[in-house]
Amino acid sequence: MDFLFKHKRIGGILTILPQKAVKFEDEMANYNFSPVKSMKLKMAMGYNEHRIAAPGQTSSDFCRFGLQYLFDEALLKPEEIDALLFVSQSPDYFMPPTSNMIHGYFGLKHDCLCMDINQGCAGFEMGVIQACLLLDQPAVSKVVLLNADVLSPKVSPRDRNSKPLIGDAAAITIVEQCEEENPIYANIKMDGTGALVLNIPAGGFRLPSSPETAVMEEDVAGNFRSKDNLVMQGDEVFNFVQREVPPMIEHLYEQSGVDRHDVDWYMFHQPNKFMLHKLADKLGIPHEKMPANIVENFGNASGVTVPTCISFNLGEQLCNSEMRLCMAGFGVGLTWSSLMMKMGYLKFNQIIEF
Amino acid sequence: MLWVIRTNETAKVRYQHYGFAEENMYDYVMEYNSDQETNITMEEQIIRILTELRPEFDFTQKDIDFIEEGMLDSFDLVTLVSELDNYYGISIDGLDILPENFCSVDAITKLLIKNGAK
Repeated sequence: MDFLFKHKRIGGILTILPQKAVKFEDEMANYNFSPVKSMKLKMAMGYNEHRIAAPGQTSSDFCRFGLQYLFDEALLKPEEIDALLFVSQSPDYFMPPTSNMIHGYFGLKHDCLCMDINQGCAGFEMGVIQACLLLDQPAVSKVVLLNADVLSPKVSPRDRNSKPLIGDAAAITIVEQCEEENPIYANIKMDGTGALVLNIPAGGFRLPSSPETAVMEEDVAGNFRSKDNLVMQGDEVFNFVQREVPPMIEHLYEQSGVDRHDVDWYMFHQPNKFMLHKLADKLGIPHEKMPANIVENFGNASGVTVPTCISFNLGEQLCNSEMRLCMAGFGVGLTWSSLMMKMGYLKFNQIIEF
Repeated sequence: MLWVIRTNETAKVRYQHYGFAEENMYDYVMEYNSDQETNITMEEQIIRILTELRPEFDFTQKDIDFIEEGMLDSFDLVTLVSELDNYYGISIDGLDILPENFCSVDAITKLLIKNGAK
């Protein structure tokens, strides 16, 4: 499904990371990799260091910390917020929506639409699309998009598919109306037949958590996890990404009329370095135009990786100039989505620690 | 590892970047004789990489399926593809990274040729 939005822009990006960094070397013993294999995987996949939330910290804590920072630094006014979108797979409660909890914490105005969106790796693109749809209404001038996930507590320490890569983080993106036409080309696709390729089997209404769901079991690859843990069928995810993402980006070139070489940066979701390099090769894009350094520095925090990639790799540059960015997210759902737009002269684009 | 040789300063710098001290790095670096390398066949090269990846298995055996026998898992495929890409200066298409293309030395050879290895 294609979208075209006009007179909208991204006004600022703030990424909030946990202070605690965990080294791959410190966890290697859990995975039964030989030292040689570990080193090779470190090189190929980008295993190095990932940021993990402290016990008790939730996704909304990171969002609240980031919003307070923006208010304190006069980068955002509470009364400007017409909509608060919280895109996450780790809400505080089943009910109420976490966006309402954040709304209440700051005492935001009543004329403010709060919405929780359950999305993962395509959560940034999904959030920007939703924000732009809201901004088509005259009553909405500024949307605060919160992408946040603290999923590390749901990953088994003995799951070598997911544990070395998982990261916790949040990002706050301001999406707002603007006078310039600034076309934003977007598309999104879904395939629910693959919905369980990435999932947490227990803990919802279908299979509530119980002592039985907490029992650790070994899978065919030698990973140990319980039904309370996140499970990722890595092969299926890899094949899905290689099959669906390149055609989606080729379509985005046609949709936007932008030549692949005129894109300054490809800011893609960061599953691992190997997968990103394969995508870049398939699309004929130099690796240096598609940064793949988020997993090795911070870990994969689902829908937060794209804003993290922008904050980490472009930082202040994006406050002083304008660039054409192609962004893409792909994963849980299965969902895959991409954006082509110019971004620049941001009010802020930085990383802070909580 | 065949793609990290003792005289390859760039590779050493990369390993240092990933946290390996130089004195420890040499534990993993295989001696490399360029005269031997020029005559090695693709099949021999594949077996060498596979054997280094999983030294506990005999990859010279015919008529066995490396995947079905559990000799290669998905992590092995990632490292194998990375090493084959580096060694042959190609990029194996992500769509070709399927178990059936790694079930035997013959299958891997066909995969390499399809992706431009010479």
